[in-house]
Amino acid sequence: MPTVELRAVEKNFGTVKALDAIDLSIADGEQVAILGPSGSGKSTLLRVIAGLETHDSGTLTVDGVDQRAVPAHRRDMAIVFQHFALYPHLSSLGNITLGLRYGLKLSKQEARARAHDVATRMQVEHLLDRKPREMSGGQRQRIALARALARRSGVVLLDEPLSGLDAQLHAALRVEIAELLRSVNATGVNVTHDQVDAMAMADRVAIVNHGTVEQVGTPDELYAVPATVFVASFVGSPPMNLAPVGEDGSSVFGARRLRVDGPVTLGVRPERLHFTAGDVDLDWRARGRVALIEPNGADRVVHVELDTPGPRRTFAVRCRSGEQPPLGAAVDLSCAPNDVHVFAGEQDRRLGTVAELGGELAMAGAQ
Amino acid sequence: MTTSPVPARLIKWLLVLIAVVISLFPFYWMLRTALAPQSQQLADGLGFWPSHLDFGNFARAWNKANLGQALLNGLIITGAILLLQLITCVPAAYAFAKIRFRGSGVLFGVVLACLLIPTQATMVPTFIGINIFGLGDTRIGLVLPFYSSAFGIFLLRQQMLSIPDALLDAARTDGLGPWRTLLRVVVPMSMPSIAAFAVFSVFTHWNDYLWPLLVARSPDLATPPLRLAVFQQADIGFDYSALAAGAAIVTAPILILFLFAQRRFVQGMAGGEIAG
Amino acid sequence: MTTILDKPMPSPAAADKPIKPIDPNRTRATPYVFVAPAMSGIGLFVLLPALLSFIGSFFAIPLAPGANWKWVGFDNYTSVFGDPAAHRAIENTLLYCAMTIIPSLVLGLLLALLAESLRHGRTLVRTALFLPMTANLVAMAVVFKWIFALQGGFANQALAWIGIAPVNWLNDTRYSLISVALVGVWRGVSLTMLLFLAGLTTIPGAIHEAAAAEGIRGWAKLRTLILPMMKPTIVFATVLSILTSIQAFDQINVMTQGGPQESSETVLTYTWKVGFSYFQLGKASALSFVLIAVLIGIGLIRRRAFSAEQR
Ligand SMILES: Nc1ncnc2c1ncn2[C@@H]1O[C@H](COP(=O)(O)OP(=O)(O)OP(=O)(O)O)[C@@H](O)[C@H]1O
Ligand SMILES: [Mg+2]
Repeated sequence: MPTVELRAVEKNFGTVKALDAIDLSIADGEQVAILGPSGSGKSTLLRVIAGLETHDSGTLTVDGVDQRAVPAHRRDMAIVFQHFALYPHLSSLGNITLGLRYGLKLSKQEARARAHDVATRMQVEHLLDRKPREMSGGQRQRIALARALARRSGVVLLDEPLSGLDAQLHAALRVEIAELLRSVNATGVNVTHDQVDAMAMADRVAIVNHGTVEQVGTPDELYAVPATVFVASFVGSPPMNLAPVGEDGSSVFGARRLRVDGPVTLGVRPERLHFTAGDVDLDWRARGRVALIEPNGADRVVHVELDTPGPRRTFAVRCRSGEQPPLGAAVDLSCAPNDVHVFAGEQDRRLGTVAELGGELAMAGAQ
Repeated sequence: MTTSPVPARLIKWLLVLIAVVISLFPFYWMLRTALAPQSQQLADGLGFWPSHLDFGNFARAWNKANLGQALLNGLIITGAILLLQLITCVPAAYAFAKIRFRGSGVLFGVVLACLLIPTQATMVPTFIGINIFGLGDTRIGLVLPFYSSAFGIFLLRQQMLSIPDALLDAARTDGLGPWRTLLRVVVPMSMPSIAAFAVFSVFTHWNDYLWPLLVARSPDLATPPLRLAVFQQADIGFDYSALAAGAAIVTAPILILFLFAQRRFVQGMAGGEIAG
Repeated sequence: MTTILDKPMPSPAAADKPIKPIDPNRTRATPYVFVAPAMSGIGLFVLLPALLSFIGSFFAIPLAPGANWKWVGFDNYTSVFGDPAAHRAIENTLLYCAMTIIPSLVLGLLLALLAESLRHGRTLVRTALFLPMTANLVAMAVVFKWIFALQGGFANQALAWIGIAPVNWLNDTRYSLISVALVGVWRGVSLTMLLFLAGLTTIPGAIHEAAAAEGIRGWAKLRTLILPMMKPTIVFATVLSILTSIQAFDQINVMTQGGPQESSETVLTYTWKVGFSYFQLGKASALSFVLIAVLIGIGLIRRRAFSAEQR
């Protein structure tokens, strides 16, 4: 059973460093999502794993076997491409069987049997005779997935499998694909720039930025303990409120002074902020004015413009519907010290919460 | 398009009509001449249709100019050239469009340069060469210089550029290998431009006059235009009826082919559209 | 039949054969295998002859195989420059080009736009306008020869009908070149129209809609949207027209044979005569290269003038 390991994998396109020292191990049967902004190297990472690009340095192994010399079609992998990449001149059946017949060298009957088998499982039998242009986006997507699954590969790679589908289909297929991959025990690697997709489909998520893996973890881990400022700002909706600490130790939490020797950033999740004056001795507090109220189902996201010297800064605060202050009101915000995350150092790595680091004033900046 | 005012539309149609008349007139005149008896040509003057019909002109042209054999020659030579050009140009176009390899830029530059070299600059050495190898006055000599086509490579490459890379990646992960990818994915997807090029090639070589005139010295090898040209230079230079009938016979096959292939041809020249 | 749900079949790659490394030589050789046949063809029958022709233009070349070429330096070129018939041929070729290329392009574009804008009978009109391109030029030349015949030809009968004296289209030095050029235009328009129509269809419908929404119409639309978007097509059509015109041969050979008195002789027909009737192969080659040099020269001057205009 396949486990995929990447060690210090690098890939350059001319002067563009698309992948920079990627370390990632994917366990057998695991569903991993690769999440990152556009241009961060997600597709490149997937194509390196698939064997469509060769990496410049580092190692890629599947079950301990180095893959460098293994051509794409001999890897135990199947890939679903970003825009499906169905052969336009072939029916769905032709699309599914082409690789089975000539790549896996199955007999015609066997290839057809497999195609029908997958199609039955996915309830797309009625689409087998249609050509890609005679199908809707969602149907094409299912056929593309069927083509990948019919290979019965240990690893299924998906490059933004849901892009270009409308929101409802998106949500439905997200669940369907994840269930399907789990049910065939395939290891799934799912590239996406949508964090909701990533969280919904994957056991673990790898956050990629500028060609490096910033953090790998379960969705809960990423949320609770973001390893870097980038992860904190990328995961969560709205993401974590972030504010830098000035050289003199001042921050949006006006009453608190920090001892710093280097750039430090503080972060608080929106739902950890409260509209109360809080405990003067314990809590971290800030003041501001309500600038915008965003309805969000049962919740409200209140954007508060903070009263701080320097550049304008707003914090998002999540509260129950009905508990939000009126627009324009002056408000106090407070939060507990163990909800204030501290990031510092060259990579803006997380050091811990204020509580863990020993409370105010005792705090050190970058090591 | 919004509806244009009536006078503008009238002018438009008038222009179109004039163009259509000019474009079709020689064909019409050819038929009219071919269908009238030779004795009647001067008498009929500008009349729209000949006063007597005479289908004997076709028989006369067919027999005197030995057009049957010429048509067969034309078919063999044109067919052989087409086949060879497809075999050579399709893979080359694919490689130039979709495979990155050392020297591809330079080689494609050569293709473009060859596209621009006029016949007069090549015909003398080619003729000498063909004769040195004893291929003068043979079918092989008529076919060989055209087994590849710079224009074909250029046109086909142009369309193949628009095949999405993802499809070729899919073919790679499917394990099709370069030849299967070419035959099973690239060729079917490039069908419009392949068809267009095929029609173009057939037009060019069926109608080619210069090279057969040089190479095909024995009458048995003559292609239709060559035979027709010889026919009109010969003693019956004034038998316009038979000449026009001969011209009609030579023109007809290609015309019919065009009428059938027209839609694909125009599409293919447009670079076609490839949707995934 | 195992179902995909009970998967773990042996993995496809590992299945039977041991994993072989990609044979780097094979994958790298593939593109060369793909281009080799085609490149050999154009190399042997276009590039090499062109080179030999250039080299040959400095030699006296005997027709007999095996006989030696004799170096004659610039003699062939001097002979071309000193030959009034060659001057005439080059002059005629340039005239023929001027009379065919520009009308073909302008009329072709106009007709393409017209045919595209028709709402009824578009296919029929197109077919009619395409036909000249498919015609066998020798066959059509035979027909045109009859149309332009002095006695009883349609052209002169039509002139007589409106009261104009007959013109000796093919045997008068003033008209022979014009007559063959007319045939060239008749056919050339058809080809350029096809190319322009093809180019027009590549302009996405959204562009037309956007233009309509913004009220950009008629001439302004043509100048600011259509022509710029068709630039590649226009370049392609121009190149093809130039090539067709400098290689005009069929209808000249059939209709006038370059006559009367070299009045419709072009470089190609004259090269033909020099090469294959007088067997001065070196001079024939030299003549081709003089034409190519002249064309390049004109191209450069036009370019200069054009860029000067832009400034
Ligand atoms: N074939 C290539 N040649 C040159 N540069 C490339 C190539 N492919 C990718 N890149 C560059 O590598 C970087 C990573 O690209 P990649 O396609 O992996 O991003 P991505 O995360 O998939 O983005 P998106 O979400 O937009 O698909 C980008 O800067 C891109 O420009
Ligand atoms: Mg991508």
